[in-house]
Amino acid sequence: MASSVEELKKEYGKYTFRKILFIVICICLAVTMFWLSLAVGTRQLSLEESLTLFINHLMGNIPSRDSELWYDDNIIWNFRVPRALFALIAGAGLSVAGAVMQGVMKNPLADPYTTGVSSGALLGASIAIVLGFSLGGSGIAGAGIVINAIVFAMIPVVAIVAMGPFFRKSPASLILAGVAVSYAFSSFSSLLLVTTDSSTLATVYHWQVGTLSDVSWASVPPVLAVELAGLAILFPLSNKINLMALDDKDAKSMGLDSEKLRMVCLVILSVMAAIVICYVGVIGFVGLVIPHIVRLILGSDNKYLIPASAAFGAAFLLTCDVISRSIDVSSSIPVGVVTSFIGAPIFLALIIREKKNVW
Amino acid sequence: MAMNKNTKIVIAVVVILAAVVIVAAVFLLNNNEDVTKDAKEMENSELKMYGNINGDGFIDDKDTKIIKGLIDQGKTAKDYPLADANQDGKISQEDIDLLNKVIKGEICTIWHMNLFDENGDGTMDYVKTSTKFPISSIICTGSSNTFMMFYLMGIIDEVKGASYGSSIDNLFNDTYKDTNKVVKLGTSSQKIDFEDGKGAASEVIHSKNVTAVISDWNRSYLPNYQDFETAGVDVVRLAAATTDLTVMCHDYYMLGLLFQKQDRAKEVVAYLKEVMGKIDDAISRENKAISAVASSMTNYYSVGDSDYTAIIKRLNGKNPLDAGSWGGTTSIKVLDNLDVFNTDKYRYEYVIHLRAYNAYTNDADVPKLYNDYTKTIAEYWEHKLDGQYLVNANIPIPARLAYVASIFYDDIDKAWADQIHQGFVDKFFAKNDIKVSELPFIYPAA
Repeated sequence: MASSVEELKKEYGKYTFRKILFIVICICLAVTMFWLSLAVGTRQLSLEESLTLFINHLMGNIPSRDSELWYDDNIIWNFRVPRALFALIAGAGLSVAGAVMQGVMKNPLADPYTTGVSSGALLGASIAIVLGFSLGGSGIAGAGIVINAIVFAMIPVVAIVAMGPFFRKSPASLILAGVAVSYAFSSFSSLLLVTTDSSTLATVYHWQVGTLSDVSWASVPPVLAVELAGLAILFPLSNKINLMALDDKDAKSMGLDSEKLRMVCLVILSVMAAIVICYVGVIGFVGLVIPHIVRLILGSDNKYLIPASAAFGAAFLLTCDVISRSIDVSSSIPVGVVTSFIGAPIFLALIIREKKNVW
Repeated sequence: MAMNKNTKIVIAVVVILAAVVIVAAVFLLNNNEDVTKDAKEMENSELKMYGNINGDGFIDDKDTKIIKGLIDQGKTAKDYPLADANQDGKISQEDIDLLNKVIKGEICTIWHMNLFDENGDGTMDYVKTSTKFPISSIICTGSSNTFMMFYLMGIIDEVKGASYGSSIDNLFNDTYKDTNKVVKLGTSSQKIDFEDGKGAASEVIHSKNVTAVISDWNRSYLPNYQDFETAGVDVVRLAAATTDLTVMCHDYYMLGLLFQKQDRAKEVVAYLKEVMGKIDDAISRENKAISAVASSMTNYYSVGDSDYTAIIKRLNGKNPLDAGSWGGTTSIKVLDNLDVFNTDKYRYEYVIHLRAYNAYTNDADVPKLYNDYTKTIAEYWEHKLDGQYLVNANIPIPARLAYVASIFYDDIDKAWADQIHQGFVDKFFAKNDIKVSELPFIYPAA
């Protein structure tokens, strides 16, 4: 008896160790990619140079404005560091949002944009870019786009929450409502875009596919605050989210109000996705597929799935951004293109190799 | 009724905060007023630079003498803001020293007005800015007008990088379009990324010692200008497509000063004044009401304050569509606004298609281009093709005005416009064996 308990403990230890090891490896990968990302970009700097500049700046040794190093320090500190940090935060946020969304919706096709936040944000941004009208009052300037995007991103969420009582029977109805709202908003955006000129279209297009090119320090704190708050709320809920895999009635018998939790999660996840979209546009694939990849490797226990998705998503998005900057074209390829280009074959290969059904 | 301690603290904090806000607001408003006042002072100045006290196109001894006189009379910068060359708030010997450095071409920082739509309302503002002087290495947003301006000024080797689209004339194949000489920084004539992928600007700036980026006044040009300023790269904004002679003078005199090509600037401005005078003279001889619309994109009309509509207005024409409401845009898509063809509301005799195509090298199929640009409008417009003209937009602005004038005015013909255009080629083009009368700068010939 004792030996079987010991074996069980050993087995559980192995089970836990494997999962924690995966998370640690992902974090190490993210840190390595952060370092690498400092050396990749337009200005050619070696790994050593860029790391030295970064550490010196961190230690307060900022080169004087007259020195040669000041220019490179500016590039590292004001362009590459915020961009890399944003990629890490956005990657983590979108992946966690996707993992939780799929859990609470019990649907493998759910992603952070399921509620229509992306199409709402796109409409808000299009209004700012095409018509020059923004709720922030600054026209097509960056702040105007961001404010418009976040306000319009939240409209579908509010609509779905308001319609919540009608969807009690099935989470699938919520997804369908999200799809319907998305289409409605997309049609408004399309209407705006068909009347505009090619250069404005190009601006909207970049926003539509998601690009980290315009990230600055100003973008980092709001995204960091929202994603951290979202993670802080969601992570303690992981056991409850596990229970949601059960039928709603069974979950209720175990003391869980699935409908309420689903709505709460929906709002939190939408805000987490919306804040990312507002700054960098719609980065596809990450929220949908990263959780699946992690689930294929670690299984569906949200206690590990959530942190592992965060770590893997962060490393993945930053890696994609580094690749997008490394390709020798006139400017960087939008990161949204690279995420799909790199992620899709990895995902397909995993599905084919892993024959087990995780859903 | 004694207040408790906390209430007093709260009131004190609110009062202090309110005071700070009021002081900040007053400071900002006053500061803004100062710039507006300076802008008014510089309105007619041919070189809108602090220190250019006599308002001509140059910084020279005449300016230093006037400033010396002001110092002797104890005048202040408030009374004579343009005399404060170094913008330290007072008129002193330091201003004269700075101007002497400029005259000698020594390294210093000058203060001048940038032409920029700062508040995003679609009109050009004067924005006070500082620029490191002199300039020997730049990058630019490459609109065809900007390249033409540089070309006329002989600013060629100084351009180290540029972003430009496919419509830039092949005339520039061995200059700005030669990527061995000028690094291509993107395919948009409006945007250059500072630091991004391999094709952004930060490496060129560093390796070629670029100190400035030159761009257009329109806000859609170089929207990320703060990235450059943060990196210590000056942003100089000019109005390459302007039809206003005073602004044209500023453009060329400013380039002449910054690149130490004052003599060339003097020659270009003299010719600009001559031809603009000729154009004004020619159009004033005929009293005619002109109603026309400009188009710079296929199936789009320009309205409002666009540089294209400005051509029509500069020639005493009117754009009837300006009376309509088009949602704040300067480009309206005709197929989505069929009202533009409603003759009860808008009547116009001409549609001028101002388009960039390879005319100098004569390798464009102009009849085909004309057909592409005009056919949809011809389907809906009362005059069909009669009154639709294609005019090349890669040429110097006065030549563009001259060709359009030859369409509007009976007494002006293409040969006259060709003559004005040929003058630019003969005097200022590096490649000056071009016979403009044999090339398709206007179609069909007016």
